[in-house]
Amino acid sequence: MSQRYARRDDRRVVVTGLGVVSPYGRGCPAYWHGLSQGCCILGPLSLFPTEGFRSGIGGEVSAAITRTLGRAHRSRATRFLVAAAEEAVGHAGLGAAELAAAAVSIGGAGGGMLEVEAWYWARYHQHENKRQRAALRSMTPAAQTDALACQLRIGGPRESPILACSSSAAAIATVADLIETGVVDVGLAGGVDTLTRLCFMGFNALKLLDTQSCRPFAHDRRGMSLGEGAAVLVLESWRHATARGAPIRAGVAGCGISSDAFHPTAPPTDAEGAVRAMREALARAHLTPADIVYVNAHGTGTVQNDRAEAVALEAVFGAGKVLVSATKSLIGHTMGAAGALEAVATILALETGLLPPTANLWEPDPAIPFDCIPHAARPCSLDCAMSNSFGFGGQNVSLIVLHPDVVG
Amino acid sequence: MAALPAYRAVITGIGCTSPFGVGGYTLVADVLQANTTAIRPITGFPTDGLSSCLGAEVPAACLPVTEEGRRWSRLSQMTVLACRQAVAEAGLCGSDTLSQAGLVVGSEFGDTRSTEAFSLGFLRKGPLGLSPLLFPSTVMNTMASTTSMALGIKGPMLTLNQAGVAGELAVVRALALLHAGRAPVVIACGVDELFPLLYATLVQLQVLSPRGCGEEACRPFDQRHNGLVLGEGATAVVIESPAHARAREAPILAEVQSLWWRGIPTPPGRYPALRQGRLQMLPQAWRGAGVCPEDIGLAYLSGCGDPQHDALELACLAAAFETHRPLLTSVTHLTGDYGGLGAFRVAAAAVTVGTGIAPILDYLCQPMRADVRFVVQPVAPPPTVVLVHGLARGGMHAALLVERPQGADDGVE
Amino acid sequence: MTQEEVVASLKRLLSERVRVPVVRAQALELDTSLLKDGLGLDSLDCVELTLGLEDEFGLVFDDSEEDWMHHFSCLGTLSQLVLLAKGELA
Repeated sequence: MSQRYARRDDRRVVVTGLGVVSPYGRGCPAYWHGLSQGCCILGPLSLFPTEGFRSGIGGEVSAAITRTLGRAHRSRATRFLVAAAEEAVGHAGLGAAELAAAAVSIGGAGGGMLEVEAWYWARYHQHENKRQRAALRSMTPAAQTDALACQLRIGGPRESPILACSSSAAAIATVADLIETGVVDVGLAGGVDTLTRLCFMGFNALKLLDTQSCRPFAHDRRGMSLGEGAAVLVLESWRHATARGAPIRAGVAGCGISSDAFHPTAPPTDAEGAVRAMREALARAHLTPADIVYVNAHGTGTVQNDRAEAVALEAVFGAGKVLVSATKSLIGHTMGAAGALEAVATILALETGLLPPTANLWEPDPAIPFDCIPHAARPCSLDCAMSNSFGFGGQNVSLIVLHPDVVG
Repeated sequence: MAALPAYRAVITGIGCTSPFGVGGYTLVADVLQANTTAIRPITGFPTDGLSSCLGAEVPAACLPVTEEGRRWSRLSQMTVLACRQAVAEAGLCGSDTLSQAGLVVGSEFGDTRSTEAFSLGFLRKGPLGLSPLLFPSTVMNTMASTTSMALGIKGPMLTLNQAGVAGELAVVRALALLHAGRAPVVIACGVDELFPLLYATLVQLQVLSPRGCGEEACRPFDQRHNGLVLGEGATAVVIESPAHARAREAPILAEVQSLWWRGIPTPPGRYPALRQGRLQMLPQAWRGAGVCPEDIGLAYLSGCGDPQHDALELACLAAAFETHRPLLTSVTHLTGDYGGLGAFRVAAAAVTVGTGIAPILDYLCQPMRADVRFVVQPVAPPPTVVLVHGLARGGMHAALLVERPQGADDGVE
Repeated sequence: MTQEEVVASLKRLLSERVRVPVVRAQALELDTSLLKDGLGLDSLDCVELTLGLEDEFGLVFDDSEEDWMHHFSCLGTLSQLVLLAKGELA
């Protein structure tokens, strides 16, 4: 392993715990099993009526899985989030003292909106009830973070960053910053979003949803598929993790955050902001483009995003110089949770030496000059990899993670 | 570790969209000096049938329809105007620095008005009633994204959602971005708006004064306090390192640093329990900031008229300061309360250390506690170090220090 | 339905759906560009208008058409599309 990857300062950031709730099920094993098998879990949505809309499919966490996720009176988002965080904290072996001082940053766009919608719909039809109104307490994304902090007794700096699709990637980047600058030794960073009527209706209205399972990087791609889930990572300083003998799952080498300042929903055709975010991540990680062999793409399946993303990747790495795959082809676009879910996928790819595939890629777009790993996972041992998120409103976040063996 | 490492930055620009108008440093100074409330019966939407009717609204005249803002929501327009003013006062308009700047917007409810409008479109007319134009506004980063497009800001852009202390947290995060070297300059903005659904719901949940008890009024820290009176607005401050500000000869209004930032584990929507040590800012926080509690001449509090909030905050500060008794003040009686108000408090603190002007709590007839000192007359001598303190439902607890710039004789450089 | 009537409805839609000031919308000529080099509508505005057109005229756009925005180049083009769809044109 190359010594140049290993930063020497004690405050370099490592990952000591991972937790996931995904449409595949509860926990990282179910998540990785689904991804590594290339299993596209997208199907008809059942959480709310979909009649009258052009697209009614997505990656939904089943009722059977949801029933296992803690207290039923909580918002769906809180249940996902707490389950994911408990897995991460359990694997990291964090105790009460560490949690009391830990930072927590949970990104998300919708918060407890699913339940609030039910209240509002009932109110509009003049049959609201008090139980539904109680959902208001959990409406905002911050309320999910507050609930998690309360449940796990997390007492350090707390944030709920909202960067649309880049929310949880930004949570990871900003918690990493807090560790590197000595504000905290430990932080939980992640994201959660559930399917909501709002999101479903909105993307349908924008005509950004495919009527069948999304096909990122395909020649005939026609849009996104929605999804839902949660992921939480435990981040620590290397010094703190090694001092307590914690398992080091990965390193967070560098993160880039930039804005497009271009359009509410579309990226600029030159993808200049995305390029800057990737270059910043590389610079902060003290890496060059040649060091990156795999990129977990934002890869939504829309005509515009995938095209712009390919332009950005080509500008940074050169045509064909990296392997690329889109987790969203397997589980859908999980909105604010996507950045964290895809960071976990990238870490598990490093850990296992197996790159998850892009599903539904029967006819790759010839204008996208990258091997997007169609259908089947690809064995590949890597020291490091990149995971990108490019959100509505021009929010770009790029993360670079390291194999634990090169963390040093 | 709960104290933040000492990282000092400077405030070089202020901008506000407020019930008092749109302006910057001078507007804030005038508001504090005049000490006249903007709270009055709401006119922007009907309050018939509700037990509350007061609020502090941004006048429609401050938010003209413009070609540039054709698609902006009202909340986004408030944010753009405030940030634009702050950037202008900081001397950054059209500069390359602005394109590298960071932007942090803190808000409690974001553009829920647009979310409701979007939902109503469907409820009234089915799928054809939906507005794709409105959909991006239903995600809370819409204010930041609109502002970044309007001002050409391309650095790190974050929206932070938080009850109560969204404005303070925006400033704290801005400092963290600077400390991490992510941008040469960061604009921190706190924003929230009044809208009918929020108002009616908070009345129903018995959050707004009078809660069936006494006169409807905004009276933080007075024994007659009986709930919140809402306001709205956007306040932006431009923050950068002292070296960066000096190098470009920027106007340095005040120094600012984070003192305290944590969340006390608390059920969502509730205040933390009042227990020994739970709310106390630990001694190392003061040491970490290189300041003694006795250095603090005045504190801006987040007290909002909720009896529990007011009591907790005073108890917290009594414990933090021990025997020292700084003057305590608030802006809420002038502006009404909203989640992003903390940014206005930071701006006000910058004005106070520069001019000595601080809001007088002239409504305070029956102070809750006799062992604290409230600002009830013009402050003298002018404080050089001011604490901005924020406490919120859900357990967020944050504090910032705002200081007169070093080397300044009588205030603004 | 005449072209005049269609154009009047389109101008109203421009104001109601994408917030073009009424005075500006009313002043549009048939061949004034609605897009970047004229009124300044972008893809988001046009998607909004497609819903308005579907609601008002029952006009459904083909999502698979890559260059669908060219229909919005001016009121003349758009009104022709509406009339064609309504069977008012050969």
